[in-house]
Amino acid sequence: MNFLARRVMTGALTLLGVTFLVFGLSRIQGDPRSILISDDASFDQWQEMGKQLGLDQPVYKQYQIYVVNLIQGELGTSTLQKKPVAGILLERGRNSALLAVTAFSLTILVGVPLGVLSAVKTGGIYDYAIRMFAVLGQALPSYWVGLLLILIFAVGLDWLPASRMSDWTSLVLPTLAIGWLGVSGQIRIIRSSMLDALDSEYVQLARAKGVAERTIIWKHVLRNAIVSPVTFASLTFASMLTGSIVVETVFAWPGLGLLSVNALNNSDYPILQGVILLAALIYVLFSFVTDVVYMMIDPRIRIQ
Amino acid sequence: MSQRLTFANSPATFVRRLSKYHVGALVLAYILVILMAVVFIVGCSGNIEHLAESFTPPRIATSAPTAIATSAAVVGDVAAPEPPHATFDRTFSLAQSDLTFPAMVPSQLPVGPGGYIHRWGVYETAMKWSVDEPELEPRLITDWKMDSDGLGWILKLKSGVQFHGGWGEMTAADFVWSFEDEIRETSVHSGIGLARSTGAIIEAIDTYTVSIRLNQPSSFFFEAFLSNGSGAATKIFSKARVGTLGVDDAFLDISGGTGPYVFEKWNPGDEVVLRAFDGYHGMPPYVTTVHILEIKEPATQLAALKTGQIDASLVPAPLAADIASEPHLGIQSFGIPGSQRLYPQGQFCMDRTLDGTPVQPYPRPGYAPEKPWVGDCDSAVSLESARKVRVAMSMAIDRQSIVDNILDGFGRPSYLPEVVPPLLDRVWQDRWFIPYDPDAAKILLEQAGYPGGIDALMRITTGSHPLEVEIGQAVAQFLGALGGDVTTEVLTYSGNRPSVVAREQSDLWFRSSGGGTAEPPEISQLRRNPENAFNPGMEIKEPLAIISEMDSITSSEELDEVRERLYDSFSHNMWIIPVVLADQILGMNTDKIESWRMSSGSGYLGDFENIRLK
Amino acid sequence: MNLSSNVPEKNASGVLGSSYSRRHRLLRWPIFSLVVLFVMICLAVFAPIIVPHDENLGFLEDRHQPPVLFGGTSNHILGTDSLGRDVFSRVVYGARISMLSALTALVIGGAIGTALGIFAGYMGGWVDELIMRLVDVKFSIPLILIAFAMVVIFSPSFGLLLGLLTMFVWGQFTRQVRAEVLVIKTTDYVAAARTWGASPAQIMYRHIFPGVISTVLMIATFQSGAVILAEATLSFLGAGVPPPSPSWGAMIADGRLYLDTAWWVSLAPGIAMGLFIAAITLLGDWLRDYWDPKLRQL
Repeated sequence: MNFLARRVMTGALTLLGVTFLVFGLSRIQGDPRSILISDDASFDQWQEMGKQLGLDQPVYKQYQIYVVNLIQGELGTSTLQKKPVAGILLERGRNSALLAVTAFSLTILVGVPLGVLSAVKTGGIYDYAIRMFAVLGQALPSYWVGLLLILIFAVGLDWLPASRMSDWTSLVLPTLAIGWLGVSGQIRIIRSSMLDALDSEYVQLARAKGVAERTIIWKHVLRNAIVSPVTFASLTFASMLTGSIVVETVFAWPGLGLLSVNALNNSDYPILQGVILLAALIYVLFSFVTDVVYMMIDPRIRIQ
Repeated sequence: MSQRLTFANSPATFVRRLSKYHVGALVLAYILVILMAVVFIVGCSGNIEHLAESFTPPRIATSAPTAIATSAAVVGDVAAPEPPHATFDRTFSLAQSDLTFPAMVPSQLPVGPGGYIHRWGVYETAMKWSVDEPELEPRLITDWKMDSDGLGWILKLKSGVQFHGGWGEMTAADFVWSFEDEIRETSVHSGIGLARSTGAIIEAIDTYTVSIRLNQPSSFFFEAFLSNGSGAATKIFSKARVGTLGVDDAFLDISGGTGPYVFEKWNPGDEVVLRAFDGYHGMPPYVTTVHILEIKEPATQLAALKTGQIDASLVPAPLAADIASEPHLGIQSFGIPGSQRLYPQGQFCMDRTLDGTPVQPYPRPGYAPEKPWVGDCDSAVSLESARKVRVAMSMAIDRQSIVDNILDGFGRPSYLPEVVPPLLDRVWQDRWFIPYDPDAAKILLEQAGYPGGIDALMRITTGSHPLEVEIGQAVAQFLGALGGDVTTEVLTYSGNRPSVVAREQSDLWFRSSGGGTAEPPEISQLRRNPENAFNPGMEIKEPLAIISEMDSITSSEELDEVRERLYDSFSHNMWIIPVVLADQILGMNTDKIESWRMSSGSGYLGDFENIRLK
Repeated sequence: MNLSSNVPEKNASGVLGSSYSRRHRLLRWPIFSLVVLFVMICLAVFAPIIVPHDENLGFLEDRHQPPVLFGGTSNHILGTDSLGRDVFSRVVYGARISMLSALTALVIGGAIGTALGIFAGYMGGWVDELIMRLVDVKFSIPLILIAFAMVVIFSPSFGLLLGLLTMFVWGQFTRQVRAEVLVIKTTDYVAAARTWGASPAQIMYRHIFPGVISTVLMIATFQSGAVILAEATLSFLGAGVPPPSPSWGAMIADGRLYLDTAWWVSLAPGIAMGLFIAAITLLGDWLRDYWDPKLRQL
């Protein structure tokens, strides 16, 4: 089968799997009425609500209706805000995207150079320091890092606002809290693919031929080592786009992450389903694009 | 898969092939992405304010009939020719951890948001608790009198009260409609049971006169519906607004109250902005703009308070001293303390409701006579030993220690379920005091057949009070000290609710409230009939019977007598184990705020019109 | 966020690189990791002997006592938390619970993931397709959110938490193992086994499984940090290890309100957790370089 067609199909299958999961999630919580109904409601109201929610239909029928609605772009209505889910996702998505773009830029701007430096100076003091920085970034919970950042830079030094979205200064702390994790991952992955490439036979060959070390690193090594870091970066960006649940909560950043925490605390399942589907969609799209780009670069992938 | 990077071809061919793709192709792509990112950020950061603006829910003010709008302007001119806030812009901001968007239609407005929208001064009730005295003063009415038979009231409405958004002047028609919509068949309103049981009928006599008639006397009705003390209070909505917009649009529309503040925007999950209402019928408020910011994380709220990002926020008791030690911050208690209590669930003993309808399903799935704190409904001996267990649990809790250590003194032990000041202080009898006496508790447990203490699972529900988990765990620790194994589970209130609604639970449930309300607990907190969707895991006839007896009493002495009997019954049986009343503490920027007096009638933060800035 | 660094499938090579011996010589013993892990594992194993106080029981009167060097007493060397419980005892027991839950999740998740990976890789065809789509679904959804939702729906319990943590890890194993199996499958000894008439089950167990053990161990090492971190994140959302049992994540989350006043409540477990994850990640790096430098993408 044609690589592209195959790739589109696997993506669609993945998304279908996700809808199944998401639908199941909204059903295993039991009768949605037990959450939605008010404390003083009577039995008649209970019945009435059941009819409104379509609970009198068999489950497979409910799923069918759900998927057909999804395909038509109908994500449902937030039970809490009584507004269409799609509109809410769009509004909040913009805020998360803003944060994702800054955090991703940090990941690239800091992660790539540090990763290269660390690989080139293997075993040295730079390598050691950079690796510690990267390892710590993956070892501390990001919400905790966020709180520490607030205490240091907002409360202690009073340089930056403690929370919420206002001007550009409000972007700094949440970007750092989210970005550290991304930077760490990027450093580690760049470093290891660079080392891989440095070890490879063609680099040894180039060395043997007397090619300058600088040329080797920038021309041969980085180019060959860039594949997995690009995958990593694009998928990291995809996951950032749907917001960091904990960091957005800590910084009261009105993005998708905070939205979903609120939705869960108030049992607003349509919103929750929407966020999960959106996240899956973005992920599938990004990995698709990444694969297609590789395919164009390296024809051998097509064979697989 | 992996052949891709195992270089099967000779290295030389590989290097040659690689050079076909330009060195910088991917590096260039990187740089491009970065550039795009930078452009995006620069573009957006300038636009953040703008973005936020565009999220404002639709306001319908402009679509209101012109005639009404004109009359509003005229009245506005007469009432306040030169409002002081026209020249000054005094803003004020505070943080709240959860702002549920309310339904702006009476019949769909839940209790919680129903409470805060009138506490914030956007919607108003007929009467309002005074700031200085624990008494009611008229707000939307000028005068009222009770009918001679004690079964009704005549209310004289204030004239010239304008609705926000140009929906015209408030008349008796709006008043009647708001009340009727609130108690209609499909309403989610919490006062609906009381309104039905009293057969309340409300009628407009003329433009500014309303009569309310009940078919049986009620001691609670007036306070529950006409004061701002409870979430159930009848807020007056514009009838024309819902008529014009339709229920669905009115649900989201944020114009239509009568209070000193008008919603400028409500951005769910982010912020609410209140602006002083130009056409307000009373004194124009001093603070002209109030930003209520939703900040979920308490630690972040305090950081925002310390850095001056917000002017006020609630402060968890243990941090009150820390906040007070900041040079520009001060603390004050306000409102009514929130009650923290333990429900020993599972005592479902009513196969019929009070009026004789069979309870479905019966027995309840959560009925669990094997639990130490639940008795066999048919055996007096078993019920008595369950009572002893509950009393023992109650005596094992060192309430004073919780108050002193966790609440840092900001609160007091609670011995009666859901009963809060000022009612508590008025009716208090010393015999209701529960001593901290683990030894006596152990003796009681031994008598009940549990010499080794009791094993229990305690669910702690979250979302109401920043210290709920700590207090709940402390209670579990005290119960565990009796010898048994007490484990805890922490979950959100809404996550716990379904099994409560289904009457499936028979474990301990530690539940807390942020702030109390002035409404007597008999109106709804203790009145959990089997036919209601919700109750705290118990259905016992005795207290409900006493409460229904209270309904038809009008003399306050007689009422207090029955009330005393009710509290005796609770104190003796410990169906609900009261733990502590936690004060609500407000931390605020004392460099900016001169004073902020809040009325005693409610636990919600509000009364922004009483804020004075320096 | 993507909790685990994504593992691209391409670099999995069962063939040892030619530079194996060269790198091998260069490797230094990971002293830092070994010391930290040794100490922590000792603490976890001997927790009942080591701790000076009951980790779940405190006296409210002793609330928020500072650590010994910051004005506290030697009775509570790391101070006490908001319920007067000894922070040191809780950190020690927390090591036990955090490590145990990570270990359980990794053993179960690793077993499931590895089995699926071998199966998918060896069988190929629609089996492979189905399993790989499942893996795709796993990677495409925001797992923290799903886990949080599950905890809200079913009430939180230790068993559920372990199940959720297992859900976090299995996919990584499947992806990597499958990629490796694809290579091993083509080797001569597998082909030979097939010609001798070995059943697929035998081949998978006897000939393929041994070939992926080192990879599985390495993934497990790297994932253990991610699992502990995931537990901490869930604790922040109120969905972690149910109280009063101490886990590092739960302690960090419980103490966060007091970071400014009683910082030790949150900082002590935070440092313990940071050290542990850093140590195990560095150990993983070392193991990978030692065993198979071609697997550096993990």
